[in-house]
Amino acid sequence: MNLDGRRITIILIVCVIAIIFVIRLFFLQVVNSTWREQATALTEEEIPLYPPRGIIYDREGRMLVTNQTVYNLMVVPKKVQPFDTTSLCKLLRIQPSDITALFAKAKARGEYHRPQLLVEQITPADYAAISEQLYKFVGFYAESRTLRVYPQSVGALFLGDVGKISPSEYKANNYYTKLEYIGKSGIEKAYEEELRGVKGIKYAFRDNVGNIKDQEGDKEDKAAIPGIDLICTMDAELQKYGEKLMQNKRGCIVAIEPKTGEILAMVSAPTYDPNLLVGRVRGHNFNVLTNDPQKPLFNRATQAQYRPGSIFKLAQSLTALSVGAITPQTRIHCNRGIIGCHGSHSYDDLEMAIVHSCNPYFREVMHKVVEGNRDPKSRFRDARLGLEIWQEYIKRFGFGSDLHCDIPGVKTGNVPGVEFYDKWYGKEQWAFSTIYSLSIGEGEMLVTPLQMCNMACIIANRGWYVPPHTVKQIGIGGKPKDDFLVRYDLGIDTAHFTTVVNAMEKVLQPGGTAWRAAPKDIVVCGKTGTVQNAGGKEDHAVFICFAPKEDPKIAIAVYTENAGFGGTWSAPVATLLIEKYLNDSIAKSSESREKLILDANFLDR
Amino acid sequence: MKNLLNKLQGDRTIWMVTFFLSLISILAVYSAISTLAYKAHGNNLRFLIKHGLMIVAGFGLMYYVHRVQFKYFARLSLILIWVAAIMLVYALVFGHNLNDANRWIAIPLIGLTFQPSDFAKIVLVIYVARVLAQKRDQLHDFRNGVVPVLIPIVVICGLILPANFSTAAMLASITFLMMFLAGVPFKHMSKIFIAGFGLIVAIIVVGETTGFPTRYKTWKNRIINAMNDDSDGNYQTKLAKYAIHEGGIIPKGPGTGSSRNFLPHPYSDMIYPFIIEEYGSVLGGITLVLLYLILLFRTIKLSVNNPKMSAQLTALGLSFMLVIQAFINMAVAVSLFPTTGQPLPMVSMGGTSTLFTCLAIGIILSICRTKDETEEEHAASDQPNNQVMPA
Ligand SMILES: [Zn+2]
Repeated sequence: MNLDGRRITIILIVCVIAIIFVIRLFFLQVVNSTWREQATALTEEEIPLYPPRGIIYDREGRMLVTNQTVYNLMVVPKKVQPFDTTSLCKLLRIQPSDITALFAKAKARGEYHRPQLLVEQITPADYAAISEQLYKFVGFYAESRTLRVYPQSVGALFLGDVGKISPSEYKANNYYTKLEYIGKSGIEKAYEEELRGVKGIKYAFRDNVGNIKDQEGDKEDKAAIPGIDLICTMDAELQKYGEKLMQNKRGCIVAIEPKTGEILAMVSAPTYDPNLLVGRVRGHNFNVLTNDPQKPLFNRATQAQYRPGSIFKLAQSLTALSVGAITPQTRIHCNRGIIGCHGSHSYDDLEMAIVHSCNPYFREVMHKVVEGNRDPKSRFRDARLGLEIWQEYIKRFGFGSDLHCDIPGVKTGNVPGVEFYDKWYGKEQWAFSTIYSLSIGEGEMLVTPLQMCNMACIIANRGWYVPPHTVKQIGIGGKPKDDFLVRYDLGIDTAHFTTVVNAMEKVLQPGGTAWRAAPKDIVVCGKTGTVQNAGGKEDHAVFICFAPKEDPKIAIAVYTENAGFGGTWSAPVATLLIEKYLNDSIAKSSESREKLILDANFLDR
Repeated sequence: MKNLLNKLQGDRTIWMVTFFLSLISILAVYSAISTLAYKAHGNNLRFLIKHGLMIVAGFGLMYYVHRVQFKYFARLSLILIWVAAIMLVYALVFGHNLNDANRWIAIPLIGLTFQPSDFAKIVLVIYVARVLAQKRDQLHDFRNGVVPVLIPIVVICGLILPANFSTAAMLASITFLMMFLAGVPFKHMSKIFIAGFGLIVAIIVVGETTGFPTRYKTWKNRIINAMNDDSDGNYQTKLAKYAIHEGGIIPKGPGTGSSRNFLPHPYSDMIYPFIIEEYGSVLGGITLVLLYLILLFRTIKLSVNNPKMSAQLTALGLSFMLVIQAFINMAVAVSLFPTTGQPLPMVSMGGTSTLFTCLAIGIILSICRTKDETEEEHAASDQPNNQVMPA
């Protein structure tokens, strides 16, 4: 028996084991490994420091959106020690099943050792009572968070809201963690990067009961940088008054300062108090608002796409003057055989045709633009060439585009062109006679109220616009985004605007379609419209205007759905707002109009 | 001091190794328990003093024991094996139940507790060595040579098993190794191996079907966790790996370890990764491996100086026990082995376990004394046999 061999065997085995150790040791230290991140996540924690979100003020410095501290109650299930379930549930106003369900969920996800959210957004008052008792419950702790609050309770859709990040938003952006909040709409979304600030990091250790310890690590903490405050373009008083005038109605108002493109008010009715979508009530209220048949969460000012109706005749006039199809003196018979008209007139020039909103006149105007005898052999090919020119001009007004504005989710509307009709009717299967309803703003043309207000701005400025926007200063005393320091010039002769502006002035003079809505002492230039609805429903009442005539300060578009005639139901809303904005008060002579509007209710139509 | 050094008998190298291990132990335990959690409870110094006293007492015990001739231990083991068995039974029935396992017995008056398995380990090694030496000429005969060796092993390991699977398995392996070294023929060794394997299979079958023993589930979970890297139960090992990674090759310096804040038991079971974090893998990790290897190789080299086969086997058995225990602890830390709860001998803060480790080293030292010193007991009970372990 070779005993010496046995001894050597054992020694060799021990040596091999020792070598395996050494190799394993270096393997753990040198080789890249994912477990390291897992281990650090469990232990040396990177506690995010959330900066306060930027505050939003209106153009007069009134605070519109600010922050409130709330507390989230967290629990690390693994750290929990036996506790008095009944008293904890009573303290937090939850059911024991909430805790067991959360623990089961955490276990299923393999997150038993990670902080779990038990109760969200506890108010400071409630937290004061809870914090006194919390030490009794090992493994439970509170984390402070900030919530948005809206002291003025106005401009819900204008300002937008903040909500928990969605899976798709989380995937699209590597700044956030799964538990964070992000701007969901309006300014909150468009200016998310400015408002959110920069998160800081505190490197800390949690002890075995979940408390954070002040322990110096080898990494330096990073302080959070607070979000940037914004001054938005809104005039809160005007916005509030607009919301009041639109009570019990569906529709919207857009008011813009023509020179700057600053949106002074943007109302989408019915409206709601933005504070409803904050805190623990958010989930419930969000459901209620989503299911409301009046669709209060739908921003009609930027997302509703209507046929433009009669107000589109203004763009048609300017296009026709610009391409030389007509002059201001061009007179056309009010031939009601092809297309209807209203009022007593028969042979208007351009100015009066605008005042009377003469349908046959504008049919002929567009006819002249589109059928220019550019291809003598085929009226189909002639119409194609003509429509291309027409479409190019109409697009200069910003129709069919998002206007480069800063409002999330704006719709572009539709400016039908050659391509559109080729698809619809077939190539060379259509001529002007096929598409003439475009001439009076019906047919396949779609616009948003924002675009119509922008058109009012273009006319007010006599030929140019600044993209409409919602933020005036990024940081107090700062500038707007560079996009909003640029003028878009339409390249239409200023002189052509004179006729149109004069006609618009007459609309609010006796004999005009909106003369009853005219305020005292202010020269308002406007145009009424009624947009026909399918299914026998009442027309949408539309009105656009600007004031004063010289050096205009405000341009407004008002849509009142299913209200009827634009001059009756939308024009007074606009002129009341103008009075409010320019004079800061409503004249005695206008009070009856105000009452009429406030009393009107079109919600059931 | 010089006087004391002169009085030291036995191998200087083993003394030095033991001294270094205890030095590392004091430093690491001091660093590990000076965390905020312990400071807050105000008893970190108390822990350290207790541990220091235990080491001093251990060295005293070692000094005393290494001067005692081995033959007395061999004789004592005849009685102590019964004492160990009775204590194990007592602990199983009445013992303090810490962490749902590892039964402890309280020593009256001093306020100390100890694990009877710590005691039984040493006694069994000596006893088995003695029986093997006595039966060495009959080892080819399974019934008369091997079975008498197996009976005490099966009884003692069987008593340890319900409370502490890993210690039982380790002890069985060590005695198996001793049989191998004593020259039990391969055919018998393989029979025993197959029987042991069969026993484990039987435990699994019984455990799966009846749920008995009650700790079966824990054992199973640990093994499953060791294989499944994502599981929650593997939290400890993840942390250990993290600490080892943080250590790097170049030392971070004592007192800088951050893992003590979250490593469970950074002063006992998980002291190895903690030492690596503070001293680096070369100075901390490899040095410790080398210290245990020196202890083992020194014992293998010197034990042949003792003429008695039982003494040689005891020295080898005890040093293997220390080294295997150390390797298991390290293997857990580097995730080569499921979590077991074996402390790092001499280094972990383990209360009375330290004393038993010192006792084992003291016995090794006694056996490994120079030839001259052992000459006088040459003609004692066992037959002299220098051929068992040629140097
Ligand atoms: Zn007419």
